[in-house]
Amino acid sequence: MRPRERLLTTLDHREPDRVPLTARLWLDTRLRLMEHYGVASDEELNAVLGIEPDRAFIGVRPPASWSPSPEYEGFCKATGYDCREQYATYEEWGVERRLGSERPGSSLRQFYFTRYPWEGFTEVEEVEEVELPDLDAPGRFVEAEETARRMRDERVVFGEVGHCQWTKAWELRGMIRFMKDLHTRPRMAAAILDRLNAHYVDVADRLLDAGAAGLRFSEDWGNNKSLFIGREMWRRFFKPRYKKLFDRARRRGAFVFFHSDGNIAPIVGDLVEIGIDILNPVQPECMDQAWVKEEYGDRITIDTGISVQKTLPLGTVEEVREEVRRTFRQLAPGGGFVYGTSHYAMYDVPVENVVALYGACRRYGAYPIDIP
Amino acid sequence: MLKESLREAIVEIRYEEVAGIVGSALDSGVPPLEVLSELRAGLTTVGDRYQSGELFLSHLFLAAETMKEALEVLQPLLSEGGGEGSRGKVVIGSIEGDIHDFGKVIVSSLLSAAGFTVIDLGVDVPAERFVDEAERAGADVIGISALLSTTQPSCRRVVEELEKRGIRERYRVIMGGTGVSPEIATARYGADAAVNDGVEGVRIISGWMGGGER
Repeated sequence: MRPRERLLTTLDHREPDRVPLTARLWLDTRLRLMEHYGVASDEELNAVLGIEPDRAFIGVRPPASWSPSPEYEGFCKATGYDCREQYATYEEWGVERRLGSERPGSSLRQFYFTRYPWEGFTEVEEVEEVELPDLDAPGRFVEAEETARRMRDERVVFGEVGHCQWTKAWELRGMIRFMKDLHTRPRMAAAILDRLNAHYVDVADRLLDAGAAGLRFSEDWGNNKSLFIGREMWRRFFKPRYKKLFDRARRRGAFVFFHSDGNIAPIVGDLVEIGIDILNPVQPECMDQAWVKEEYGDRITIDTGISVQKTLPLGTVEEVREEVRRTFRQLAPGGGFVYGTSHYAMYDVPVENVVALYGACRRYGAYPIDIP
Repeated sequence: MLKESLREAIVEIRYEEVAGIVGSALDSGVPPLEVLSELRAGLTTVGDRYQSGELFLSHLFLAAETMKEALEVLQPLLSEGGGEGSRGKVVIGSIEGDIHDFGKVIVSSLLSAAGFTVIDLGVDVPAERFVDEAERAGADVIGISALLSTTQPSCRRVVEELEKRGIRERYRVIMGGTGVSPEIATARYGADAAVNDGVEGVRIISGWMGGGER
């Protein structure tokens, strides 16, 4: 099977020839793996690991007139992210960030927020009147259209809507302030979410127009233990707004890919009800993956991976293999399953554990699944 | 009835009204210490319901923030009466390399609401600075937040810095983060305690400072 066909088959809840694989590997982990295998590029590394290029992402980019300053390019390079994508996600909105300190063993640095541009708003009118990034500016979707055209027969092309409601709201308002809004100033919270909803409905439509076969939404809703807010509050403020966003994809037959870290068990049923097709990453230390499969596996694809908090950094090679065997036994049958790392394999992960992970995936991932 | 309304003000997050509710209770003759005890009972209820999974993080945080609003009104009266000063000083921050803020902010808020003086150093804080600030403030406890497996080991550096300066026994050190495994963290990084639940962290610190949970 070709990679795109394999992914589409599993998304259709049929068994492909083998489990499609993915990976999120921190730069230093990738470099150590390249050295281990004696390969020189990401493409070669993916090929050795058995990760095939089955998907592509397109997104909003800055206007054609924008060019980054050398300082900004340096900042983005230090974080490892693409600076055009980063600008459209953060700085263009007025968010300000700073680099975290250098870490032994890591070539990349993390960032944190130093200015939330909407933090000082006291009136709903300020939210209603604030200027948002202009999607009509020339050049916004040129790369998206070009990539979609080039990739559409080779990969499943997803439009990256990204942070759009909860995560975008706190990036603009500050998490503390926005939580206070939800609990004590519901009109303010609703105004913020409405403003963002209208903007991202527009983004969604334009990415679909550019040729996306699916939309990816990235919103982190939980920590290891539970949701950040209660389910009733989530249902009141977020569910109808997500539905509006998801409907943009569904009415055009496109996939809805939803990413959220943490334990989001209380809202998985709601997300399925309003139309998600793919749930990622369903972290094993946060949620019962077998339960998700049992309850919703006939309606959604579980795009997941090995524990990156425990097994991958701290476990033995045999524990890594055992987690793959157990997970494949429980989740792979019937399709609707993609596997890899459940988040970044950070720079503390032993190379031999990543080698064992993908070795086990190749060994046990052939359909029909038959693992003793 | 009045006492109930004090508890309810916290449990139901009457953030805007809590100062008025406290004022009414005081006006009608409820002693400040009794008001405090009722408010704390409300916060304990929220903490228990959070730990049992009935309430969620934002509720816990807002209940603590509501408590802080109430303490604004109450604290001057408590200090006047000599009944209740600060229960102790806690210097808190996210360890060098860790840029996660939110869990730490919640714990800071819970500690303030429980009557501790909190000095929040922010995120990405070098080990030396934890110790410098603890010394400067005359702190009792150092709280180190670390979310990631890659940053948790750096917490050990705070303990080492204390040892290097010969002042390890002056401080209790607690480590926290949603991804922290308490047994592993205490064994490997030298903290006196490690938790992955903020309510539990406040409980432990309260125990250290005497008087248990109040």
